[in-house]
Amino acid sequence: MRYIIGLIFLFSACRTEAQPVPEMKDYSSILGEIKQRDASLVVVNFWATWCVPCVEEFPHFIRLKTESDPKEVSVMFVSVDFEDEVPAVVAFLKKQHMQDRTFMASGDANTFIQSFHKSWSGAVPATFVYNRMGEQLDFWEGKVTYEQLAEKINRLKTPKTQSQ
Amino acid sequence: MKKIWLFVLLGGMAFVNYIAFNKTDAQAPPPQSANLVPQVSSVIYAELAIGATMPFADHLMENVDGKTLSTKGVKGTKGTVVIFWCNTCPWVARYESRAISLANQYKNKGFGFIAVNPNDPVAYPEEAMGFMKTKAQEKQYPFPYVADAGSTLARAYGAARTPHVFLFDAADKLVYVGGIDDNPQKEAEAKPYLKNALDAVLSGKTAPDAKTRAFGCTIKWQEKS
Repeated sequence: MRYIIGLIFLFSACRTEAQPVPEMKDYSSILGEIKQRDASLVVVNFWATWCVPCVEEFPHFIRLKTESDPKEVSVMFVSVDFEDEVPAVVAFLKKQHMQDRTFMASGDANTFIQSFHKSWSGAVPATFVYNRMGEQLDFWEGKVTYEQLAEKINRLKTPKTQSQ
Repeated sequence: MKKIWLFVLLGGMAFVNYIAFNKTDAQAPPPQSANLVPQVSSVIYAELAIGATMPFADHLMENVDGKTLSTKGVKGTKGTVVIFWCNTCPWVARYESRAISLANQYKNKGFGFIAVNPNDPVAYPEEAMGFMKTKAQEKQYPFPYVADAGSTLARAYGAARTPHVFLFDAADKLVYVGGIDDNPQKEAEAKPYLKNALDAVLSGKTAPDAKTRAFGCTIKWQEKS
């Protein structure tokens, strides 16, 4: 009996993945990641552990991720926490059951922010949506509800035609 | 008989593990139509442009000392620094001592300083005047700290985050907008954007980086009053 239980635990252990450590990324490497995703839409959410609205909307992005076909919508999180806050970032992601590769903003903030959008003030939360070619389709600052997020994504899934 | 079931169970688990770890490649769908129009769907007020005149200069706001004050009321002989600020943002916390230090240094050189809190004190009670007073007293702010009712000033300036700095010259023209510096973690390694801009005004030169961006907390907008 012990032998059987032991083997079952062994198999279970094989399935457990360690919580990924956030990877430091600048703008061009994030854009590279976006293009590598095999998805029609790539949603990039900028957040921080200390940012209350970011933390409040985080589960909506997780829900979007789990309820979407990964070929249609891919969700990527980029934390703007400070480097000395990595343990807090890892702990938060673990609590959210977010085990995908995750990123942290690196380099000079001024250049980083302006590379994403000239109008982005640097405030978080901020979300950017790209197509598979890395072209930016939408961007917003501030918290969204799940319904608002789903509505924005659905609108982007349906291309506008020239005649409209 | 029992041994067979054991092997079936383990075999089943192994199979499930295999499926979970191996994603099959699917054919990529064709690229999206080029008709997709990029859009910015959030509410962003246009940031005041370099060279623009100080807006709402007479607009009175409640200060932590109980009196009302406008940005014109703190105007210095050399210029005025308006910083959008709040009680709870960790970015503000990291920059607090730097802002205080700069204010102490440059007040004596002819600059007026004012911190403005545009956040909604109803939805965010920690942003209410009581907490503003505590903060200003505890840290001994060398500048007024006013409540921007209705987020009026923030809208007029196109402020979008805290902290968000606007430096005006003696003629009330905007000469610098952006962050205090570029490194909230390591002050010694930071490029001191605001300090450089203040020095530029003093020597009659243009600020080297007139417009910068920094991370910060979104403004908790109030209903227009």
